[in-house]
Amino acid sequence: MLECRIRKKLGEFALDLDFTAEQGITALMGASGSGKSMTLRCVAGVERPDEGEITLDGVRLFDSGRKINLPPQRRNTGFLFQDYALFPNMTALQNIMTGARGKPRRERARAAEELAEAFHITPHLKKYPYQLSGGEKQRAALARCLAASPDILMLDEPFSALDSHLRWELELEMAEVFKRFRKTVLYVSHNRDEVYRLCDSIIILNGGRNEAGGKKWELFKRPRTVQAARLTGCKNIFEFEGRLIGIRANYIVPAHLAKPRDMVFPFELITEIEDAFTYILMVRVDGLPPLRWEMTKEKREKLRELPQKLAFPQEHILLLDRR
Amino acid sequence: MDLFPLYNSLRVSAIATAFAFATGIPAAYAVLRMPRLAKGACDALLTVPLVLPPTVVGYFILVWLSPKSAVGGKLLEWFAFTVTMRWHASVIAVAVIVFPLIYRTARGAFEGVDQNLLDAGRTLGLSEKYIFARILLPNCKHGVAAGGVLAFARGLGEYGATSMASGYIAGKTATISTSVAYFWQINQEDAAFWWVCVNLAVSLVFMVLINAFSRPPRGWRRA
Repeated sequence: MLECRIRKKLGEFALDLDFTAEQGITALMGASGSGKSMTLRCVAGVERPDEGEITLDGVRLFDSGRKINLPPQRRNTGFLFQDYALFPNMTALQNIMTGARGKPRRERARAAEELAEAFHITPHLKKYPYQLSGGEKQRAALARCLAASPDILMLDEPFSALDSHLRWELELEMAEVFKRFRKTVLYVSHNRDEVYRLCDSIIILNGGRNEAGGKKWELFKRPRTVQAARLTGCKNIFEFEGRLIGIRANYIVPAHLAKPRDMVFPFELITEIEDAFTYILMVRVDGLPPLRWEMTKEKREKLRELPQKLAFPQEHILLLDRR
Repeated sequence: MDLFPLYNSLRVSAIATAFAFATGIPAAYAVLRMPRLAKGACDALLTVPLVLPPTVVGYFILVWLSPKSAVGGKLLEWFAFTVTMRWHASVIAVAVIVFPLIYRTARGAFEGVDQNLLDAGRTLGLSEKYIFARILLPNCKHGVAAGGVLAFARGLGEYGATSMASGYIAGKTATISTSVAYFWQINQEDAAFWWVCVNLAVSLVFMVLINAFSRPPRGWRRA
């Protein structure tokens, strides 16, 4: 379990966090520049907060009041950098071996080889990082992290540098790693689908502050804040009768399917875009910004003629805080 | 033809470069990790010899190390050792002059290394010493080596500070650059011309070497 209560000023930007990540996988979601990476760096100890406390499994890593600031070497955190940060002057094997420090050389080599086996990179152990593919690099970097038996695993957008066809394969492997790790995992991402599949809890960062958080299904069902709604994929957010409202693009229905308490509006089609498995209708409703309405191809074909009105099912309307 | 000045120049420059290397690299690493304000101040201080006229460096060596000065007097008194007007003073002079070249190129090379590599090493629990020697240095060895070659080449031709601190004593403190000046002054134009040619040849060799080092290196550096 990680408890983090820190402040740090960086020029115009200020990090002001107060969150707890239970054992299990917690995603840090936020737009770029919201302080996700800086948060990980503060926990790892390669960046020093101005004040606050960081506690990992009961161990004080940082406490400005009691002047505790453990060097990163003594924090025992596993940090998977966005670009993996493999040492270019070492082979994959040597890279993984640096993780298993403090043991005799032979044992380190054996530990590294076992990890390599588990990550399917045994044939590439003699290669240098520039000879490895993106996926192999990530596996080597993850093996290097785990070789150090860290108390927490922190991953900074681990799939952002990969082609999409590789992502799925590595995501499955990552899920396996998480299952076996059984400690706290902090996972930085802004891909909501990836987060939903991999993580248990979500913390939303906005402008250096953590504003909403909780179990993933709660957060996806009731995002509460604009930023949370956006990051969980809500495309339509607007003001209506003095309240801030969100409706997900795929929950909008034609008016004939509306129930008594749903909101019903007449609309005008702006444009229709065919996606791989859905149709996206951009529509105009008087007094609202353009809305995005998404439906599967089957549903669209059943409709044929577009109706005159659309409806927001009452149970899917998100009431959002103005923050 | 007496080749002592060539030998002396090579000797002085090699030893001076070694000294500057041994101090400049740790200095560059230390400055790299300083907070911004201290960084600027130290950087300016360590780079000053680059912009000072070499005669000013020579002047300070004479003022502080000649047998009449405080430190030089003590050296003479305790160890019966004089520095000035000997080749040892040339080493000190050249070391001071070339120090900023090594310090500057090393700092630039260090800054060019992805700082995440160093942080990754730290989170993996590797000691700062290991990170410096096994991660930082190997990943910028070409830049650091280029600085060394540049410093050695500059040291070979150093004139101002050397001639003030060591003068020209044939077979003792003569260097290739002080020989040119000396033979010209005593109207031995052939000898002066010969040493000019030596200077040109040495410079040419080193320019080729410097270029070889600054070429984009092959292999893993490209990744």
